[in-house]
Amino acid sequence: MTPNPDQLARLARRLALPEREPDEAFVARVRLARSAAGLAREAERSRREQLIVEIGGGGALLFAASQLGRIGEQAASLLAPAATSLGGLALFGLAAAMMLSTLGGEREGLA
Amino acid sequence: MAELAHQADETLAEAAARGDGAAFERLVRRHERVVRGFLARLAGPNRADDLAQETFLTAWTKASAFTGEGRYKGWLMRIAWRSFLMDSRGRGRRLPEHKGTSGIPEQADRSDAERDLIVEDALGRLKPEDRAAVVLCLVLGHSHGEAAQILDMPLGTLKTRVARGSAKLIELLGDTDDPES
Repeated sequence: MTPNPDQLARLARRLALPEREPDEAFVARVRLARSAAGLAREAERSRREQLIVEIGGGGALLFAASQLGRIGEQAASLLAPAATSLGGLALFGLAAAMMLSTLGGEREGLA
Repeated sequence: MAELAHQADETLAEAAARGDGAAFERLVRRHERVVRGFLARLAGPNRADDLAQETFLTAWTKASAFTGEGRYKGWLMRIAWRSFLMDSRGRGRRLPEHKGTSGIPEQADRSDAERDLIVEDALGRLKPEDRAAVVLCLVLGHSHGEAAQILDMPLGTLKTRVARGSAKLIELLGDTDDPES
């Protein structure tokens, strides 16, 4: 059965939405939801920025560590030939001299 | 503020797209009755307000997506329909096509609330797409073309859904002008 226009008009009247003034409580609810969504977006942006800074900091630390490692390798490559050319007694003397110098420094610091 | 009240939807929508909250609020005030009414007819009064809030929030965050083609109200209805569909899918079900088995209550001595329940019950017996098509065309006065765009379906399908849904409602509610009878 296909309804005729009169039947459709009668049905439309039965289904009609009631007329009323705007619902200010609902308008306020949407306003609050917009504010909350804005704050959430802002917090998300802050978290992203913080993450970028942390990743950058981590990268800088890694770079510094690799540089230190490289310097250490260079120092080792300089010292290794000397260590092999020096005798055991000379190495012991060198280590003792370094220890004494460190202890002397500490004593001066305490005084 | 008083100026905003007389501005066309499209002007207000343009302002909203530029971040003008007052303009957007005017649009909410102007359309909330229809959007909530549409969603209440679709999803029932309990879910309607949450879905309407979601609809307006999407309209605000995607305000720049309104290109001015077609009416702003139609654009809002399209968002409302998608919100309804997503919500229904998110709940892992479609709205039931049949609510209960008690049938339409006797029509004598009814209050407004009872009459609303009867209409709600009858609408609940339609498929969601049929229900949306009937409400958009018969209740909210959209043309078949507009309703087809809002519901994203071919025009012929839309017309079939309006005819089928209307016939079913007339069968359920009776062919009368007087809600008291």
